[in-house]
Amino acid sequence: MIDSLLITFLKALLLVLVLLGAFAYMTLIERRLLGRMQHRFGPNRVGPFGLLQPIADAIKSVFKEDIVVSAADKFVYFLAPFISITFALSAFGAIPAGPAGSFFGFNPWIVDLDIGLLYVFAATSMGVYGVFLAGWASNSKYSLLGSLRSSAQMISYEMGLGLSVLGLIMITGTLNLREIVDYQSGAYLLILLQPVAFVTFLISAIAEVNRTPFDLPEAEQEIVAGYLTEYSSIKWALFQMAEYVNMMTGAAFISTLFLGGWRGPRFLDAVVPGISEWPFIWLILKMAIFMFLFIWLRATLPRLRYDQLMRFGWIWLFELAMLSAIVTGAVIAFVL
Amino acid sequence: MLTFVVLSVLMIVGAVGVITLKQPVHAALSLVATLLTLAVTYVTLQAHFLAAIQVIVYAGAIMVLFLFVIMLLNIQGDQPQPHFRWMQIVAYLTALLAAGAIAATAFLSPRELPNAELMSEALAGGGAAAIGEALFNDFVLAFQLVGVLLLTGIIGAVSLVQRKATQTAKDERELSGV
Amino acid sequence: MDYALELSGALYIALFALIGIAIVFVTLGMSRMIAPHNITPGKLAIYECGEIPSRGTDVQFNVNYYLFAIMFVIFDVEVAFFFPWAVAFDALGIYGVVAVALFLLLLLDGLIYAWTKGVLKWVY
Repeated sequence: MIDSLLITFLKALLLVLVLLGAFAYMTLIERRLLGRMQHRFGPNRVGPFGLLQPIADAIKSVFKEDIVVSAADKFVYFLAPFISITFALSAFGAIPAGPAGSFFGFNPWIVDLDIGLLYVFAATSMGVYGVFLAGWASNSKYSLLGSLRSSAQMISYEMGLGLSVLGLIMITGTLNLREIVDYQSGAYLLILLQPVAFVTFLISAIAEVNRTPFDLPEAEQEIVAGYLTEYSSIKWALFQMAEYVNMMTGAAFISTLFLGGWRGPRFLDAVVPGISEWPFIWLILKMAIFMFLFIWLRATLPRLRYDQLMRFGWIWLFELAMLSAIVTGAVIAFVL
Repeated sequence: MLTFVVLSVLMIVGAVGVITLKQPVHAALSLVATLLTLAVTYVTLQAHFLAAIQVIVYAGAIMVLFLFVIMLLNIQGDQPQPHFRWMQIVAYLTALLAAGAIAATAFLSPRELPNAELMSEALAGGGAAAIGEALFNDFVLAFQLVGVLLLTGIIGAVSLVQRKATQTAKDERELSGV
Repeated sequence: MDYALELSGALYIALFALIGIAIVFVTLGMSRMIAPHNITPGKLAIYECGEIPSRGTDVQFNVNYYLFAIMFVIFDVEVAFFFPWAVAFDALGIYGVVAVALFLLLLLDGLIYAWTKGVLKWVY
């Protein structure tokens, strides 16, 4: 039932490489889609449809000089990208991508934890250190301002995430992501039972991964590039990587919690028997929907002002999420 | 046993780092490392839920607060603090007392845990459900008291900030000549 | 047997984290080998729109950061208490709902207090 250490090592390595490849091509897809939405082409010169652009970008970042500013705290400056990448990658490991034993006879997940949901929260909550330390270690005013803003934003919206899942846990009675997916195949999708929580969770997740309209760290008119101001070449690329991996984790996490995870719609079984149980494709499809949504939002919405962002989170979003949890609890306890 | 020894050594190294590192942010990071090691220790004891909460609350929230406070107070690493010389003595005494208390507890407590089997049974599955049932059946008064404590925390923080806010407003009024 | 299973879960996470660290080391090493290294004082200065950097970063920050951090800690602890309640929801039933409602009422009090004092608005 549990795979051996070697198999897990290979699976983890594969997952990391897949995530890195997905990161590279997500940057291309994002630029192409943004181009399309803004009535221009986007990168289309390097290879057919610009397909070699990510490779060119990667080569470029490796060939750039890596500058460590003299004012920086060298050790912490070096440590920050490690923290960002490691916790971004490890958060993904608990998300199941298919039924047990469906990956060449092995389980399509790295770890199956009874507290899988909290594990993902814990890993993402550590991501704030990467952002904070990057800005602090640079010892530059823009970096420090950017990192304080981003970390205050991230911790604030982390609460939104936590409050939004309470109703869901009451309904399913478990913190195990695999069991949450199974519950949804037996009953309703949780997006139908918890629509308000879904919305608050989605908004919090967008803020948590610093995407538009919450991309304050990248408010270049005010704070240059925020906590990334003093990072160059490959270290900068590593932070970008962490950001995109976080986006993908967010997309996979929402899909797992609210949209039935790796399972496909049941009615398709009538056409192709067993198609709803196929591993990987449904999760990837659902993730793609959310990734597209993230990019679409970036092309559509203007950036919030910082005080608007904090006010929106603390006064509206959290109260709404809390209300949703209370109503869920009351309905289950008193009505059902 | 070996894992426990390794983790304990790491934890002690982290804890020593907290009090010896001059730069406050470095010390805070050392404390984060200590707390994370403690979480790993919980995992080896099968208390997965506790480990996750340890990371989320201590490492993910309280330490971020510490870092913000360091930023707010703008403490410089190498400044001597002559005003607090007497406090050092008090601090050493308190540390000695605390160490003595911990040692006494460790030596006086029973070697064998009571109901060890019952406990490991309850912890199966990460322990969230078991903790929930214990918390709301046996310790519900303590739970409500924690609520009061947290409320006090909010009020304290707000009143601390509030005083500064009214002062700023007054300053602004004076500046604008109203 | 069971203990070994539980521990292996933690081991897998450690393994995963190690791979993440290794990836960073590999890319950094690659960059160090390939990238040019030609340092001038201008490059090592921190960015301040092309001006010579004035003062350090030892400026005091808005007290709001502290306030929101402490509010976050308080509500994070609150949510941490709610997780075991939500998991054991069925076993606790109406009694649990009442206990949590009381607890929540206390904290909502605090939130409303902070709200009416205007400190949740970030700017006054």
